[in-house]
Amino acid sequence: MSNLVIETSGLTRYFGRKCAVDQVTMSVPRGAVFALLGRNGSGKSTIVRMLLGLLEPTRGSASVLGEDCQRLSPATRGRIAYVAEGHPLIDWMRVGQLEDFQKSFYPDWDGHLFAKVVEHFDLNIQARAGHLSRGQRAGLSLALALAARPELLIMDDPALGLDPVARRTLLETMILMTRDAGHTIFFTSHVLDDVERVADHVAIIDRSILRVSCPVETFHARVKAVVLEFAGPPPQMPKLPGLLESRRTANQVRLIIANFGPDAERIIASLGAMSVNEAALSLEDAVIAYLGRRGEQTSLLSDIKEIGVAK
Amino acid sequence: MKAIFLKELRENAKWALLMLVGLGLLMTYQTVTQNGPPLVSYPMHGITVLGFPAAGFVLGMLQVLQDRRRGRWGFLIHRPIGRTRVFVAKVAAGILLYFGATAIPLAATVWWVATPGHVAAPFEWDMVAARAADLLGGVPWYLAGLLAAAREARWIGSRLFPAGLAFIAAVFADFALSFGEAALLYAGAVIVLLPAAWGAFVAEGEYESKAAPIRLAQGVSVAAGVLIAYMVAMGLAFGLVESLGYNTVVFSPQYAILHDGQVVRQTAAKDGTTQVTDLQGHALPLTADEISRLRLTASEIMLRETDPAKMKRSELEDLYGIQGGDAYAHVLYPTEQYVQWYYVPSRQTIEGFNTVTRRLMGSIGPSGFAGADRTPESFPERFIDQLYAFNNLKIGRTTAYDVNLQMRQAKFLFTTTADDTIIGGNEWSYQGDVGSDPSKLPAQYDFIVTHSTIWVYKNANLDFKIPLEYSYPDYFSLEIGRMTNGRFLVHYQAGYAMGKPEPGDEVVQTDDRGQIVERTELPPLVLPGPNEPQWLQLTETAAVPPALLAFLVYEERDNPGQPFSWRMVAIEVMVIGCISAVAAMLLMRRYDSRRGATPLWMAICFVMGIPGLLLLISLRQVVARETCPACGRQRLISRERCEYCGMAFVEPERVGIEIFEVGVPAAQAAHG
Repeated sequence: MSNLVIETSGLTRYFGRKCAVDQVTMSVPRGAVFALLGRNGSGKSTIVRMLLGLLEPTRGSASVLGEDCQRLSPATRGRIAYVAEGHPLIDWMRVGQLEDFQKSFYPDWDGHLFAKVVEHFDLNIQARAGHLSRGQRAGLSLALALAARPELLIMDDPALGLDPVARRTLLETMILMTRDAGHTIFFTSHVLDDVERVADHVAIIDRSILRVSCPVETFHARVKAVVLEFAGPPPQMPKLPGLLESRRTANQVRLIIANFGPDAERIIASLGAMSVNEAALSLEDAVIAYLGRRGEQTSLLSDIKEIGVAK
Repeated sequence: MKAIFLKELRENAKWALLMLVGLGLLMTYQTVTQNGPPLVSYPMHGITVLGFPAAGFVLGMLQVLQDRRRGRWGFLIHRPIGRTRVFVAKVAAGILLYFGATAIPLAATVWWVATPGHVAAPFEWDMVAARAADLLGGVPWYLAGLLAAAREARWIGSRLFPAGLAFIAAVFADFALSFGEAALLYAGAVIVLLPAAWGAFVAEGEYESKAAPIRLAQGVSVAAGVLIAYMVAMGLAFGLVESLGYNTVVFSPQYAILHDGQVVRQTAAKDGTTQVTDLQGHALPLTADEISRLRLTASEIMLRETDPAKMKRSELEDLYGIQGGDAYAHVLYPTEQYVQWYYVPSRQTIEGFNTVTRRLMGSIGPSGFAGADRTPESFPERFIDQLYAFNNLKIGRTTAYDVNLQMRQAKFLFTTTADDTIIGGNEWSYQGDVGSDPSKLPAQYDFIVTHSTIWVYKNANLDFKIPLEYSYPDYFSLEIGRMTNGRFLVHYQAGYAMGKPEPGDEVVQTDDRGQIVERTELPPLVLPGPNEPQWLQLTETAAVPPALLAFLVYEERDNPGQPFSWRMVAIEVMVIGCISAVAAMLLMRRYDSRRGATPLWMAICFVMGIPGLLLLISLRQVVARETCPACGRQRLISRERCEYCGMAFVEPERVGIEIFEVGVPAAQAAHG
């Protein structure tokens, strides 16, 4: 059995002339909780739909559980659970009817687990899916997915639109599932706080190009924030390899640098700063640095203040 | 699969119920208000021939569209069963709902109509066949609905094209002579639409990735819609051009016989006036209104073959009313209050119904009237032409009767031999003898024409016979009337010459014993050619698909009056075909095509012309191109390598921020 449950190679998708996913090559190891992060329209959902064979790649290939994603057999589909963006369900069905509907396809249906998750989300078995709140729909979607006992759970932005309590409950349920080694979770998200809690692997797709795919520890180790303090106004920053973000204040420059190494250290040393200190960097800040405008920039707030002063 | 089937049933039951109620109400209204057999009435035909397909098409579309919205598609499709099984479950539920929505109101209507005392009209089970055929007709429409919703297409543009094939099948089936014929036509449409819909469903609407037979089925389905849309658009466009002043209406000259036997020639002009001349072409000071007043009142009789073995299908339909509601019961002219008479072709009987009790009142057969307690007596032959629904004269191929519904009598007139069959007939009421005496009734004449003779009956008694001198195909009709001088006049009418030598009309006058006393040969009438400018004619023919144009001209090859010359058409077919083929070749560069696809599409477009190009655009999905950094040419983005130089795609530029590493999952590390 391969240790990789998802493998893509040069996976590309165009919509008309617009490239939505540009030659994405990545691997998801078995047992990982893999978070795919990116801004709206960066191609996350497109990747998910291609992995599930719901969308044909323009170029490249992808395999899931060892099978070409365009020809997933019913048996393999039975090993993959999918929670789509927005938690679509059959709205006229009641919670119990949805369970009956879903379990008719899965011989190993875990009714006990379904009941547990449903209870966890405080769902009434008689309630119609269309009448549930977003959080409850998310819970029901997760219950339907988990009770099928999948090897691989693919979720497309499961926390989208959920309140903090519902989000926390969702995360707890995901964590519950990963206790059992061998289960893999692949999910996309905007909520970086959640990612930090549950994910052990992170991938970042920026403007349809995959920039990061690694364990969270590796990401933490290789993305650094450095604060340079100067006696006067900071000088113009030279071209710095791996520079993700540079913010300057009156006599400070804060840099976020990927793959921080000797080259970057040498260039920074040449700037003549009074002090160079490594600052704490959360996963959220690091990811935002990847997804925002790269290079030297000021904050929007200070820009507005400056405009106000000038007037 | 059962779960999907039940889900589809439950989810779409409300739509089916809505359709059932709507169709039920319409059918009930028609059944209650219709004068005549409701099942074969035109309004009921309209309900089933429009309502059933609409129900099928809407149901098919809804079944896909409901699952396509708000991401539900993935929830439905991603499960451990093949998409084919999902499709089968959907179709099974959809067909069941369709038949539920349509067959239930139809069955209720049939039960109501078939129960004596409910409807004052004859009933026979064959009447159900026509409506049952319409019921089957909804199945291709249902599949067309599925295909239209499932295939990748634009909402405004090509989305509804698959309905074209169902439409064509429905049009042909409407002219079918039997349930079997209609069922065969619908089965043919289903054979194409079912795999096309299946292919679109399992391949996410994509066209390119399907197998060749599926692409062919989808191509045929869409081509039908393209052709219909194209023809409608062309018709509207040229209609607009013609309305701008390029009028193509042809005004035909004709002869008019006045009551004193004088023959004049009248020609309608473009400005709406009528020019009247004598046979030498001298203008006469007569207006169209005066001509109408002075015209000889006469009976017009169409001359035509009546032997079914020698008739074309369209002639059979026209003459014997073998298709549609007329195949089952002709409503005859009203005679008395609360009684409605019908001619029932299948039984060859004339049956009367009481409109109050709505039960059989009696019948009229060769032996006369028989009460409801006796089985209606059949006439020996099937009467021809529904024209006789308004006449007493009833004629078959070799027999003629005068049936007086008011008197409830049938009088045998004559029988002829198999080699001298009846080729036309009509009746005529002559007012000339009445004068100012109110006690005198107008003379009732029956004219019956066989291959050799015109039989003239006065008040159901043989008066005299006139030898038939001219007949079809050169002469398509004749007028017989009695002039003010007591003579009879027979006007044999020939077709228009259209440039070729054809016989002219003939006018024969006889005395009141049928002896010919005068004969006038009239010059042939020449139909003027189209009066539209040549550029418009050329544009119109250029718009016709080249293969169709060639076929039409081939069909008209024996008609020297047709406005096209072979050379001109051959050149036009070649030019339009070649331009379309070249356009197809250029268009094919937009697509990622298999080997041989370009020549195939060039051939299709050569044959189909502009509709072929529209089909190509409607079916194929455009693949973007980008400049190859190696050779600088525009290469397809869907190929792994440049089709010109073989260069692979360059990976996205690395900007130094990339971090790629496949690590060990935390859970495994913890366990390890």
